[in-house]
Amino acid sequence: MRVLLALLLLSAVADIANTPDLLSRGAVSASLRFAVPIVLAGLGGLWAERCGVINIGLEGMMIIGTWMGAWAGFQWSPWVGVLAAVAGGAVFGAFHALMTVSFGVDQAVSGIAINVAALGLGRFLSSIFFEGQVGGGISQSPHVGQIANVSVPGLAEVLDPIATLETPVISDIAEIVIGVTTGVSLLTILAAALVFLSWWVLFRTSFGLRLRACGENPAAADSLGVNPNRMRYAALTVSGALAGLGGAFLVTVASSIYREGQVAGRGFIGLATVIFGNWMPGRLTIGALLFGFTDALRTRQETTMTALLIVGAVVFAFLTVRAVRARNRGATFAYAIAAVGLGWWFLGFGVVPSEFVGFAPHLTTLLVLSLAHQRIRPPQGIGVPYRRSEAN
Amino acid sequence: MPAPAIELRGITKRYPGVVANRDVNLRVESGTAHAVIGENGAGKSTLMNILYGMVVPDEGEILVEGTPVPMSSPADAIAAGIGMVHQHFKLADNLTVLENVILGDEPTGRAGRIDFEAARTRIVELGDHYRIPIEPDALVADLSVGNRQRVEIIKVLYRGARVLILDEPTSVLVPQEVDELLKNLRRLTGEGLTVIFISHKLDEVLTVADEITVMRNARTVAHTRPAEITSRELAQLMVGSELPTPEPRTVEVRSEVGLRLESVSTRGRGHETSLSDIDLTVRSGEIVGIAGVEGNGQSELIETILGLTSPVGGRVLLGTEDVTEAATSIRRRLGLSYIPQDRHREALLLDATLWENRILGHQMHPPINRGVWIDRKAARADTERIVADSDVRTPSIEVLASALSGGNQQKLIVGREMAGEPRVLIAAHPTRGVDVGAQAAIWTRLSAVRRAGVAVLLVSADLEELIGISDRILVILRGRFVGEFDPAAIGPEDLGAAMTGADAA
Amino acid sequence: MMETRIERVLLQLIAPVVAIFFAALLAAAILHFTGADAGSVLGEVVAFGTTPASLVAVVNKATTFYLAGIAGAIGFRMLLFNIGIDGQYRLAVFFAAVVGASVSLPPVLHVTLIIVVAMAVGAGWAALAGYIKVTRGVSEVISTIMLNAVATGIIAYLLAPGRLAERAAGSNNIRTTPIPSSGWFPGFEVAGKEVFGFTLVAAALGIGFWILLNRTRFGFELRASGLSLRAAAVSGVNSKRMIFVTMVMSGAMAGLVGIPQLLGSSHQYGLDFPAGFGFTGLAIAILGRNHPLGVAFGALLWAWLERSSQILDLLGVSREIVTIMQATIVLSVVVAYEVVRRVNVRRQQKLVGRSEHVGIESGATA
Repeated sequence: MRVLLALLLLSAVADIANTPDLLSRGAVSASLRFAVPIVLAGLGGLWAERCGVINIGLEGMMIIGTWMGAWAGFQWSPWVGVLAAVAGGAVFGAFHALMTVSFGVDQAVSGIAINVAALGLGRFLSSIFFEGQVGGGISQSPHVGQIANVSVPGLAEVLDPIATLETPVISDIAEIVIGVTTGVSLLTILAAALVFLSWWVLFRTSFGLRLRACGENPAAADSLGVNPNRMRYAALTVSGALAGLGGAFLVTVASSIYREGQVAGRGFIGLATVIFGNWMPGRLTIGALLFGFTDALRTRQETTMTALLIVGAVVFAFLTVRAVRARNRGATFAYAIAAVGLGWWFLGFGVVPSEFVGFAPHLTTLLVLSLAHQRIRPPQGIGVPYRRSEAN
Repeated sequence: MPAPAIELRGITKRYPGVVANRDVNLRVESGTAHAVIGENGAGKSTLMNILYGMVVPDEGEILVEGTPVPMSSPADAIAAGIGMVHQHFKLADNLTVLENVILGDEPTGRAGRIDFEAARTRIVELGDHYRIPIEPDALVADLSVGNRQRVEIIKVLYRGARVLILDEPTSVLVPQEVDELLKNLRRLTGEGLTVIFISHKLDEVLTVADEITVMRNARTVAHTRPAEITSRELAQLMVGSELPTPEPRTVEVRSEVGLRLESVSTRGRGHETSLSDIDLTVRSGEIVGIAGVEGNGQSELIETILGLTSPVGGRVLLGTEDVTEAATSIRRRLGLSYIPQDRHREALLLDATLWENRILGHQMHPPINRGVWIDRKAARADTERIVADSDVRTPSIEVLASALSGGNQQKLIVGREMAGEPRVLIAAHPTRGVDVGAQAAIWTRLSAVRRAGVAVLLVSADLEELIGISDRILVILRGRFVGEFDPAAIGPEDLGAAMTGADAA
Repeated sequence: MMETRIERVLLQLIAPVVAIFFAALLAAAILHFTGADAGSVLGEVVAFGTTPASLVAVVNKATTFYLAGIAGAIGFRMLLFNIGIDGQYRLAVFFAAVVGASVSLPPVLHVTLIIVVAMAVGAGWAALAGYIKVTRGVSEVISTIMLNAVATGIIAYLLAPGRLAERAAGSNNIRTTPIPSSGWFPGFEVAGKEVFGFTLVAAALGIGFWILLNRTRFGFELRASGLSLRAAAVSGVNSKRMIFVTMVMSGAMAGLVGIPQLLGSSHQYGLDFPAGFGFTGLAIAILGRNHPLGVAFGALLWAWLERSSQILDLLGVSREIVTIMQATIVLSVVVAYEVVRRVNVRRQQKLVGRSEHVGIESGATA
């Protein structure tokens, strides 16, 4: 229902602002491509935080993933690159566990150090392994092959006439379906499967229950014979592996090369989607798709972004109404200002500088955090080291 | 005679600078309710944690039904059929009751998938069988304290435990819940289970237990049965000597008011109790005792007086000044002192030196405060004074507070809070967890400051203490004062009845 | 009884020494495995790093690091992670450059204005994170990361020709208009090289921070809150205000991070202005144990490593090995500090235990 409403809104906006590109198949598949690394980083954050550890090192683990992916990818094959990236991320995830769980180092400190180390390591290793190779250098790798794309055969041909009819909503749905079924990378499909798998493991299996219990109240888990420290090692290894996979995606799907600065804060955005998604894999993915969507728009025509202003204004107007009903005076005020501001901006200027679109996801995260705070439920043991002796 | 359900032989556990258990022996017969009693700090909790595998003893052995069992983790204890309900519940608030119960022992199908249906059926069955109904799909965060305890008991039963350890199970419950719990415990022993419970409430022990073991100073000192002993004798066994009787009162209450609360109400968040319409006057030179079952508004009352919670109605006065809206620092400057219940959390900077801890709460008072500056020399000098006067045993004032033992930490805190001529002193369970010697010393100090004209508010769960040194006793129940008593004319039994609302008519 | 204070200082020094030694060992091992002669490389590095020109460069660079380190340390002292130092200082130095270039004032006043603007912008940006932490309970770790991205966007937008910047002739650099010389902070010459005058200001700020922490009521309340927020609140500290004020102070200090460079040599903000000192600052604060002197030591070490690594490229070794060393130092130093802390507590407990009467202490650690 909500999805349909959102679609209706976007479709209407595309018409009003005369920006057919907003929901084109190109925009949809670009959004997917931008969203997948964020989804994977987000899942990495989710696994860590559900077990009670903040993983600021996600960014660094993604960097390691990009480097390992390129290193193994250019020598053997992109799939070997993917495996190497996952392994590299996992090793750094386990290292984060070693630091925070075994040595009692503060979780943020360890994460920061991992990010610093990953940056230097990437450059240092590049100087050894990439310099002197064709196309390689200290800040980039040689060409890496790409992971294959697949399409649902025949679907595009069937839907294409509907899409070009330019009937509102129906054509847009056709465009979206074409966008998500044509030329989709196998890694994208893997990522989608991992979203489901994460949910299933975390919420349906005994391993997941134990892991979540260690994130909520490690002492409780310990008192029932579940070793929180061992669970945290496991969770962080998975977390790092997912971040590494996100890095591999950047190298073998989003581009075909390792480049310094390629991760560009996606690890941090991943952390943001965890909060945005209220520590649930499905909602986290929706958040990541939103971020991917704004990212994709930024790289397209400027008028498309103007259309976002209307979307924003309508969404905030809706939120304002809800806040009024919930009698949340602060939120009402803030949402109303946002709605009026965006509307005024659209009517008055009609242009959004692309630099602003770049931080829209971050700003949204801040707003969600500050305004929806009563409704979010972070795991209660987050950030707290667990030591047996403090349990009694 | 069958082998006892549990037998502990020669258990010793040392911590740096402290011996928590010293050659402890305990024998618990199968199918009985066995009480382990002793003062706070006597070593009961450590002993139970050893039995449950949370703490590994340095010496001694544990026998379950006659066979020695190595206990190195809770998993070993669970495997041996031992379960524990901790004083501070070990529950994950954001998980459901079902998830909390099955954690670590989940019924699983293929690929580790949890069989939620089987688990639900099993939990409901257990609840029906032992008549401890719980709602499997409720979120633990939404449950009352009593219901949480039920979840804990079901959790233990779910694991097929034959021996249940309950650590101070009644300290957090309201009276009806206590009755319900005691009934449940009887039912469990009736079913052939063995119950070991820790308590320091002698009336409960005498009504429920089949056998009693008394601990004192890290040792087991006596083993007895309710029929063979009176509550006074038990108390003497616990403290190891004649009960220290506080010195006789000489009433010299002055007319000026130290602390006054006028129809104060607060709104509690979450599990907090709301205060409603609290009127309280403590005059200079008077000790007013607050009696009540824990969790009936005592901590909210203290927070309101300290200024950490602002009331939704009413006024708070220190002397003649209205401080309802004033910050804690202003109240401190007006001469408000506080000896908290949880000294590690509220009274000490564990990673700071003793003299830095002396500054805490006095950073706005001369001689330590000089405008924006802190006079470190004065702080050091006064710490030396406290260490000498209060017999704080430490090699120097440069050691970290965390290195001191509990009794010495408390002596330092008491010395600090009584420095700088306080006008009002709030003492919350001031003798909890300290040894008998320190206890007597603290009582003497309290009486001394009272004589010096300080208005003292004493919040305590120790009824002997309340009756022994208070000038008046107010009973708090669910956020209200429900009675006022003259300690000279009341015994612990009457006070206990008032606390539980039994005489509320 | 030994002088426990001296012992404690010595214990604290063990950790960084061990960490640096370990990092050097690791670097030597890496060098060895990549086929370089670790001994001769080290010799070259030390020789290059101790030339007068290098030392002056180290001091200048360390000034910047020091300010970032102190900004981090202020937060850490209160258990706040100001990951936003990076965004705070870039926004601050950008606006300081813009304001500085747009006014003409007598020298001292001009410099003062620029510094005040930088501190105000840094403080204001940090205040946002402080405000939502205090009022909405939002972790500053996340909010400052997000604010960094927002700051990047704002600067990217404003630093464009036709807005608040211009294109440099003959290069791709885009930058603000230069600050007139009345707004320069004069340096002083050492061995023929110019040391930033702002270095002295930074040193004074470090001393000020030490006095504030150890001698004033505010400093005591700050440290107490960092050790135990609850105990400090009970003692009369308004924790929320303390969190907010600390965040603002940290932000104000962060605002100064770019100032030595701006006032001492660049005189304008451009795309080429050094960035990314946020994490460096935190790392240095950690290394220096949040103590003004320790932070100074950390800043100098960091700057020295970066400077002397420049020779590595000439020796055919990637200088990025220094980054790995830096990360190793940070990680091993926190591990070492934690070990030292535990050893220290145990040692003290033993000392205390000896001075107590054995039979009396059964009540401990209840």
